[in-house]
Amino acid sequence: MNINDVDPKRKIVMLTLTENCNLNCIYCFEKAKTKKVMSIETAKNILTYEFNNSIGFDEIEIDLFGGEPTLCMNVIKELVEWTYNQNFHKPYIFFLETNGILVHDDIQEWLLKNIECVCAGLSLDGMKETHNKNRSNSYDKIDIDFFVKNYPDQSIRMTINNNTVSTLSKDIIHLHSLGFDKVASTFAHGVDWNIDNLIEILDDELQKLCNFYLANPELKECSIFDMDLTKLVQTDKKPEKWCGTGTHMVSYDINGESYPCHTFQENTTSNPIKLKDFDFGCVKDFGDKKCLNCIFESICPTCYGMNYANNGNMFDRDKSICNIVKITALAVSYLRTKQIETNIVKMESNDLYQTIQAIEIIQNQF
Amino acid sequence: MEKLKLAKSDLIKVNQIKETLMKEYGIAELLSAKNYSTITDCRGNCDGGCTHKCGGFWNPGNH
Repeated sequence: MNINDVDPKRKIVMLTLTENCNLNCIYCFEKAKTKKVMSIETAKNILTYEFNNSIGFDEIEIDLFGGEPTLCMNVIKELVEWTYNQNFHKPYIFFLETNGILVHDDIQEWLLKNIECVCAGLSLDGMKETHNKNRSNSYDKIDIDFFVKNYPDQSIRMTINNNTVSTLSKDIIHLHSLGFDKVASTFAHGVDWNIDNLIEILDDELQKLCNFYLANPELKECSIFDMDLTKLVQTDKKPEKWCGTGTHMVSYDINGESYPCHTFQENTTSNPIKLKDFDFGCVKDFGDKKCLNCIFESICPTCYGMNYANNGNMFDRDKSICNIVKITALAVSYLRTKQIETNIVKMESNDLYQTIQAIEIIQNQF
Repeated sequence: MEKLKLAKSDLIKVNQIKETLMKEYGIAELLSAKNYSTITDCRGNCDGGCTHKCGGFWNPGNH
């Protein structure tokens, strides 16, 4: 199966295979790290259930999650090889999210042998110094080239933390220089963003990034620039559900209990919500009443699970990140303007018109 | 926000493009033609562990 296909309706089934991890990243959301591992029987039962009951979905992505999932490679190997031998009638792909520490020798060999059905994604926070600050001095323990070479369609996962935001442009440029085409650079959630000069730092860093992408138009922009500005123009629309939690996604803890996604599990929140206890499909309004008058609401990302974990209400957005969203929108408006002026981007006429309208709205806010 | 704020000349340039589009297509078509997709899966908006596509904006997993 080609993982670039976007048309089939895909269900995400996350398996928390272990709560154990061999790193201690400073922004990690998992409150409880234990040595517990999901049993192979539990994992098999989950997949049997999901393949037989995921009505309305064309394909299934099985996310091998943790903790660090490579700490239980025996479970992964048995589960993948068992799945090959089942007569499941939906296409599927396994996705292994890893810190890369153990991905050498035997594990690399096994991954290459199973590359058609198992995709591996690496977390790497940028330059060595940045990565090491956040992720337990682990940069030199990762075989970065293995991931660049064998998973060219896979985004590299980079977390921007409050202590590394001042180097974010260099970090993203570094990841591109390593050969990663797609950089999924995301701001850490649940950390304190009330830091000195954040606005000035982001203004400077994001402008450097804009200039980098303008000078290198062949590169795919990192995910910071994924905002669809035209949504700002459609003011009559109600906020949409932002992600697939609870509807297109299910997450299982090590005991086989199901949750809307991993952020509702016990290792993230003190009051976990099980899948059966909340129906995201029935929610009529995903908006936050405090954001009703904010022009950025339609493009402002939200995480229902982290909202719930941090303030007890899924729809109550984290207001400490408002400035980051606004400056990001400003940066996107800046980049799109320069691209439009120089014909770097090709857009349909309606898209172009609405983007320009949005650019004007955003620029007028500052 | 000194650096990301556009110069007046930039805004004038894009505004001219907008005006040209308006004359060519008409406002109704330019505003109504865009087909907004609704979210059909996780990709593109969250980081539920699946970093397949863009990886989203926030990183609730901080992984």
